[in-house]
Amino acid sequence: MKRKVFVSSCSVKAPGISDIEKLQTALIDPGFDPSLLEVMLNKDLSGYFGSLDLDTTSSYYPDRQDIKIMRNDVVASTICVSELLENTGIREEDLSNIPLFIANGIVIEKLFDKNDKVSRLFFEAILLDSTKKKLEKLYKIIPPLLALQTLTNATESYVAQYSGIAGNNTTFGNTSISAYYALLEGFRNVESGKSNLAVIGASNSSGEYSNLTFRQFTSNYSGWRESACSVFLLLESSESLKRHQKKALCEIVQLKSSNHIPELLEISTRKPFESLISEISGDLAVFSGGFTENDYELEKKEVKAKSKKSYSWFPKLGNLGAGAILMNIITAICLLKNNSVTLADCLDRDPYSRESLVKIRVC
Amino acid sequence: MKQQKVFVLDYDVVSPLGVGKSNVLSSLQNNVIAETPISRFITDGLDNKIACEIKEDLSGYYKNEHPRILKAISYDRKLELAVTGYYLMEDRLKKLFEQVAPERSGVIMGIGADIFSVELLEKDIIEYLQHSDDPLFEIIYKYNKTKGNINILVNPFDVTSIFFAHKLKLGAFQKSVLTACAASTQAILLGCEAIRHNEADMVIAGGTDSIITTLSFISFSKLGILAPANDQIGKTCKPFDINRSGTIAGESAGLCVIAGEELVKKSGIEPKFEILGYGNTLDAYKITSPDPSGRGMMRSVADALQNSGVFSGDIDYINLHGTGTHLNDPVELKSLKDVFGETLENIPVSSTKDRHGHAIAAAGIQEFSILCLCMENNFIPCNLNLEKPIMEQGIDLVHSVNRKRIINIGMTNNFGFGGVNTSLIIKKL
Repeated sequence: MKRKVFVSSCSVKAPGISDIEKLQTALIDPGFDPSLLEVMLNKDLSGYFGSLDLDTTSSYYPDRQDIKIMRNDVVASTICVSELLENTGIREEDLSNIPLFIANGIVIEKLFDKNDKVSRLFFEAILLDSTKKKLEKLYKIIPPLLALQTLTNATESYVAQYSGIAGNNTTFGNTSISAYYALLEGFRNVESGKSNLAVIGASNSSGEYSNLTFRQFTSNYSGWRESACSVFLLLESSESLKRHQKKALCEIVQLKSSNHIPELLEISTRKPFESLISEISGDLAVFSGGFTENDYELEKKEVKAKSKKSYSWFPKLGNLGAGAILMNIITAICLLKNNSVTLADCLDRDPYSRESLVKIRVC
Repeated sequence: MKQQKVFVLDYDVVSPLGVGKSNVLSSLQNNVIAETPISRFITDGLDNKIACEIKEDLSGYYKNEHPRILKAISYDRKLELAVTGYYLMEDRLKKLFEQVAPERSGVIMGIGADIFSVELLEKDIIEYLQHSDDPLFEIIYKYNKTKGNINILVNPFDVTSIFFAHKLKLGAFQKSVLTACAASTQAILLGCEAIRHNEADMVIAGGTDSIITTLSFISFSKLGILAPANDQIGKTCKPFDINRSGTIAGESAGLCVIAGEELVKKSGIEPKFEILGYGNTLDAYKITSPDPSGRGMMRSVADALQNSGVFSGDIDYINLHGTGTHLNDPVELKSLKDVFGETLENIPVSSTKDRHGHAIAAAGIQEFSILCLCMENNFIPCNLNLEKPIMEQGIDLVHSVNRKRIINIGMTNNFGFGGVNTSLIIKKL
């Protein structure tokens, strides 16, 4: 028999947002300023990028030895999961069976530029005439742990190492729909009774590499805005909630994704949320998708026509990549807490116009 | 509720041992080792100059592709290998997916890290360095001028899955799995889960990866996992040997088509194998090394046995992860011994990485394909470079010569970077 699946705990890191309390403040504070950095994307056009500012004094901050090879989003995720598991009552011996499904966005923040030391040495090597000398120098300057720094499952591995979670797992990547896929796997594990708990999350970097990857996917990339983030949810069955004497934050009542064939050679001409807009039935829709002002306006128009109340983080943080739909879920929980209205639609569309919908009922 | 059975309908592989399964089979039977000096880029100045490359010119397979895809392929070996895999199976794939509605068919691929080929951009970098502070940014910007969902340089990992979806109209999902050496094995088991949970009826599962580019190769060398240069070509990678000194860089792409029993019954397609079960765990230990206790690997192997509903003695052959690295090999054998106990001495086990190298995210699908080939042809490939085994008591590590043996039930294991452990058990039909 299928079991109900609840979100019982959540944790978040985003620019200007170090915890759920700060997220709640950011939602209502018109003065919230996450200090996105303006970067020139070409001679005339700039984009805004938000990076993670982590508390190095946190008791969950990773060991110095590990920090050397951890990307910022990986550090954030490690702290997030430790915070997520705080006061959950989960016994240490149970951690090895808890599933961990992760979505990883872009793993590289920045390409080489002439202004940092390794880059300078890299370019010096490239300019050498002799191939032999060039490769000798490249060999010398490439950090021994570069392969681990750019490892696509580094988030999963470090989260496991620092939390002890060691069950069924994967890392999906790297557009925003991957968080929906991660959520779906975690949901199935709990719904089917394979597991009473599942940790799901997303880790996302932002920066020029992401811009280079996705800018041609949109017709006009002016007004580009994106942020790094790390977002994690603990899913539980009702039996598990009872056992841990906990109250759920929300129930996940529906998971759905679009099933059109994504375009490869062209930009998609589909309207935002074309496949899933008819599914909106809640009193609040929290949405995400585009990287640009123009895309955001188009999404807003579609969602507003269907939902009484809507919210998007785009104006404040821009696109949150792999973390977007999970951030939407937490946002809906915060906005509907202590409210008589409890049903919310969390929507996302990725750069290939693949759409996902998570319908939640806030408890 | 009874779980739907999942079957393998077809599979194929692009490997350093050959392009296409009949070539790979022939290489396995003739004990070919694909190790050669690297030809993809100049290696002067590097101590380590060998790898298992796919030497065949693959352009003939995809020559009629769209120019934009051809251009992207020319800078992305992973994509090139995957596209080759598609054309290798094109007619068979089309015939199979004709029977399923687009919204009931999906694709899930294990994909390796994105480290661009600096050797291919060298001239541009030198030119741009004259006037730019951020030459790579400007070079990529220059190449990626055309609007569309595929770039010439720097694509999302999903581009491979989207390519298959685009070709075969796979609408249910297009997923990319990023768990390094376990990625394509996980792709298969996640494909099974998608079928069992009614997300799709038919799925392409597989993977693609190559670490034979200058930056990847140097990165992996410096990580200390690649065996240093050896005087004797073909003797570099020695899984489970006392004198092993590391693995050998490889590349591969492979695909398998899986479907649920309802579709199989309805369509009358004759499946080749049944996927009986799998295990999938984490070490939760260290990113740099496997847990020496082998707990994560043990749980993966034990879960696979339990979920398959078979006894340990029912397994006829195990294709091991066997990288040839100091840390991985002994833990793998210890885990097997701890799970199988005395039964293990009656189960032939071997690693084939000494023949085709380590294809990282495509290791799983390459070795899954090899397992399928061994099962269809009732033979067991030996560890070619195994002279002094690290463990002899209580284990049948096949060495020296290949063996003839009927294999009805086989297992493949992939234990990856970051402590991801995946085991899969299949039955020949």
